[in-house]
Amino acid sequence: MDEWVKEQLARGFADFEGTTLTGAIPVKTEFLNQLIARFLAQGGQAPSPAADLRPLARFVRSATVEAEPGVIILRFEIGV
Amino acid sequence: MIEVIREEARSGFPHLAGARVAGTVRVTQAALNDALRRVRQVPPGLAIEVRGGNEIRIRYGVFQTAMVIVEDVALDGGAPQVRLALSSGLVAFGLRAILRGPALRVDGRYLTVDLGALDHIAGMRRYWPLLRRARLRTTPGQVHIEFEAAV
Repeated sequence: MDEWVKEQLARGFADFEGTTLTGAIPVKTEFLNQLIARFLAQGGQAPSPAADLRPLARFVRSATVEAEPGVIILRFEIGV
Repeated sequence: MIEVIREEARSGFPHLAGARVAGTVRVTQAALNDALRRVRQVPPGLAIEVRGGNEIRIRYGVFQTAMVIVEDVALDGGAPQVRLALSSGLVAFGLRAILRGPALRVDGRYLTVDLGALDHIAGMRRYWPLLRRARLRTTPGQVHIEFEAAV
């Protein structure tokens, strides 16, 4: 199924036209700090993604972040 | 860094408590048939035609039948189970003869697809408990998957 997903990605998700997603993801700062620590431990090298996700950026309708004590909230809307 | 994210997923996303994602995923009949061809439990040559009103037609060689997808997907805290109402008892009998494995089973006049038993999406298992609701609707040539997930 991974192969199927990669093929859909390569085709720009043309078979998913009309898809809409909204979400709010609160990320604890403790978790963000773990990610930063791991990033620095790797000499500031970000890992290479398994696939080129840049074409997906055009599907992002909006993305905002809000900060509350101990948490960063990411809100997003996606439309294909 | 990827390992930190994987560990978060393995342990049920404890640092993302309160996260919510909802939406409607629309998938074409062509993409679904392409996915079905890769599923070991589905007999080779089986294809679907998506019609409106949650009706789908299934073709397998000379065998052809209509089914109606039950809109609400059963979750029961585990993997989603999609139910389809079969057109007759004879069709149920025929399907029992050709289906293999626990992922697809016929109970009375219903065909149940247990997504948790499909090898090809085994990697989704850790995410199924996050699903709060899922519904399926169709328009000609397209399936609409409405869902809400929360951590």
